[in-house]
Amino acid sequence: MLPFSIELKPGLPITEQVIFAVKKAVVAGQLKPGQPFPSVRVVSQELRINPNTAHKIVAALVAQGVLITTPAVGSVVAEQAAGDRAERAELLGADLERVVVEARKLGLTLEEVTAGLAAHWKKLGGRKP
Amino acid sequence: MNLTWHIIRKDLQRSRWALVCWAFGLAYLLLQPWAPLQGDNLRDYLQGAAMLLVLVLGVGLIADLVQADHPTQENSHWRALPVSAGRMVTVKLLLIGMIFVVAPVVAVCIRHVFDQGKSLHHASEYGLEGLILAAIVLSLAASAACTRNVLQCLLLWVSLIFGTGTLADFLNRFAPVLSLQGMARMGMTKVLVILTLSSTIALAVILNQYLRRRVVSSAVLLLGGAVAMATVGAFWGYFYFYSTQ
Amino acid sequence: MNIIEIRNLHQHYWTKASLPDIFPPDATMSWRTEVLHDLTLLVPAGSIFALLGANGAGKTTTLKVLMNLLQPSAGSARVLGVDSIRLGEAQLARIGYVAEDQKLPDWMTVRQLLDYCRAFYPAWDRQLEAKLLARFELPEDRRLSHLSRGMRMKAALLASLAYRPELLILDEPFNGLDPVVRDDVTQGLLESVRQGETSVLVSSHDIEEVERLADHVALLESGRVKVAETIESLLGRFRRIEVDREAAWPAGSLPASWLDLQSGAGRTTFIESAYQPETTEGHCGKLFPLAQVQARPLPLRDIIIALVRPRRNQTQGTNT
Repeated sequence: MLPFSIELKPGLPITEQVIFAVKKAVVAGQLKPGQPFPSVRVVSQELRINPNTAHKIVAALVAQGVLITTPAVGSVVAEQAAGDRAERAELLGADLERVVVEARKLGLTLEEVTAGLAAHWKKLGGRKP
Repeated sequence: MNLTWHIIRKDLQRSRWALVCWAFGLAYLLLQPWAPLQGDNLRDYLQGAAMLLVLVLGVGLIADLVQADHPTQENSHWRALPVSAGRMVTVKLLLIGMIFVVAPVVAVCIRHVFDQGKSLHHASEYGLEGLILAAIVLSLAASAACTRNVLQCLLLWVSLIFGTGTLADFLNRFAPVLSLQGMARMGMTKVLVILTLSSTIALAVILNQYLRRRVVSSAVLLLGGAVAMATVGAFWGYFYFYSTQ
Repeated sequence: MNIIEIRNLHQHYWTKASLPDIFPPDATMSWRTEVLHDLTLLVPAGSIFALLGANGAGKTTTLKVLMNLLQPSAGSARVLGVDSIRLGEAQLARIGYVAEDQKLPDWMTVRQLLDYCRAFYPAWDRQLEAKLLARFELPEDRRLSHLSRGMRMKAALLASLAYRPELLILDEPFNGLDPVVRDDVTQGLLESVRQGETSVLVSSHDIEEVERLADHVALLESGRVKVAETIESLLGRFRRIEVDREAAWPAGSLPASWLDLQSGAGRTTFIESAYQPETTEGHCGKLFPLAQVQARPLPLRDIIIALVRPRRNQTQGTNT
C-alpha cells in the first residue's frame, strides 16, 4: 500500500507521473514530514513498474529535496518550506491549462468558466479533503 | 556424476510402468521352462506373446527414452537447463546400455547358472550376445535421435535394415563364392565385423546428433553406414582371404 | 557493460517453397529463408529490455539463438561474455528461459518439476521457491499437462526464477493470459528481479506491460532492428502536435521528423519524432504563424505504430 494516491496513465512518462503525485501528496498533507517513504522495491512492486525507473524516481525526489535518506530508516519525507500557496497553485497548473483549452474550444467565456467552477466547488464543498 | 544419476532417475521414473512390463516379459521368457503350465498350445501362445511384448516395448522404450530429451529439437526442455550435451548423451547411453544390453545378458547368465543341465557358457558367448544386442539397440537409438517420434523412428530403422539387406542381396551376385572350408576358416569374423561396424556407426550418429547437431552429416552417416555394411557383408570373404594371403 | 551482444547475426532455414504452375503440383523445392538479416543488438546489464515486433519478425529466433537452441548461420551472439554456441553448464546456471513453445515434462507434477530442476542450480533459493509457489497459487500435486495455460506459464516461470538468474529470457510470457494471471506474473517477476543485478530480455506484443516494465525497447521488423532505444528517450522525442490551421504547401518542404501529417477542416495534426520544445515551436511558428500549437505526449503503442507503419504526409488536395 503506497502512502500517496496515484493512477498511472499510459502515454505520460511514468517518472513524471509519480514525482508529480508525490509532490501533490506532500503539499496536500497526505504525506507528512518525517513519514517514512516506501523503498524502491516496494514502489516498483506496488506500481508494477521497472525497478530502475522506481530507483530514478526516488533519486529524483531526493535530489529535489522532497525526500531525504536517513541511514537507518531509508527515505523519509523532508520538512517542506511550508508548501506556499504559489507552489500549490503551480501543481494545479496542468489541469487548469487543460480546462482553459477545452473551454476555448467550446467557445465559453471566462465568466462562464468561473461560474461553472464555483458551481462544482459548492457541490463538493461540504466534504473535507 | 550426481547430476547424471539425477537425470537417469528422472527417465526411470518417467517410464517406470513400461519398464516393469518389459522386465516381466523378459523374465517370463527366460524362466519359461520353470512355469508349471499344462498344454503346449497355451504355452506357445504365451511365449509368443511375451516375445512380442519384449520386442515391441523394447523398441518403444528405447525410442521414447532418447526422444524424451531430443538432441536437435529447438523446443526441448533440457537444452535450456545447465546440462551439457556430453552429459545428456552419457545419460542416454548408460540407460539403454544398462537396461537393454547388460541386463538381458546378465539375466541369461543367471538362467544358465540355475539350469542344472547346461554348463556355463564361455565369456565370449556372452560377449557375442552383448554385441548383437548392442548393435540392435544402438542402431535403434540412432534412428530415434534422427526422428521426431516413435513411429518415424521405427520407419527409419526398418527401412535401414531392409535397405541394407536388399543391397547386400544384390551385391552378393558379384561376391566370391566360398567353399565350405573357406567359410569354416572365416568363422565368426564376418559377423563380428558387421556387428562392430554397425554399433560404431550408430554410436557416431548418436554423438553427432547430441554434440554437434549436424542433421545432414547424421543422415550421411546412416546411409553410408548402411551401404558399408552391405558391402562388407557381401565382399568380406574376398577381403578376408585376400588379407590373409 | 552489455550482458548480451549480438553482432551481424544472420539466420536462415530451409523451407519448402511453392513453385510456378508449370511444375507438377506435387513438386516442392527447398528454399533458403532468411529470418534474421545482419541483426545487431546490445542489451545493457541490469536493464529490462523489451523486444517488440510482429509475428514472424524474428523475435523468437533471436531468443533461441541466444539460448543456443539454434546455432547461428553467420555472425555472433555473446551472452554473459561467452559465445552462445559455447554456453556451458556454468553459464546456463545463471540464465533463466521461459518460452511458450518449450516442451515441459508434462508427466511431472509441479512438485516433481521443481525437485527435478532444483538439482541443476547451485543458487536455488528454497525460500523464494516457497514464496513464489504461494504467490502463484500453484497446485503442487497436479500434473503439468492438467494445468491451465496461465498456470503452466507460472510453473515454468517459477522454475526459472527460483535460482535468481542473472539473465532472464522470456519469449512472449503474457500471451493468452488473463489480466489476473498477467498481474501475478508481473508481480512475481518484480519480486525476484534484483535491481541492477538481474537483466531481463522479454519479447512481447503487450505494449502496456512493456511500457511499465521495460526501460529499453527494440523493434524488430523482417529480421532487422528498426529502433533500439530507452523508453524514456522514445517518449521524450515523440509528440502529437495539433495546430488550429491548415497546412497549405507541398508536404516536401516539411521537416523530415514530422510523420503522419494530416491536414484539413481547419486543423493540422502530425507526429513529431524529434521533439525539442524550442526547435519544434520554432518550426511551427514559421510554418503556422500566429497559430495555436498543442503538443501532447504520445503513448508507446502509438509511437510503435507510427514507426512500423509510417503514413504519408497529407495536406489538403496534395498527397506526397
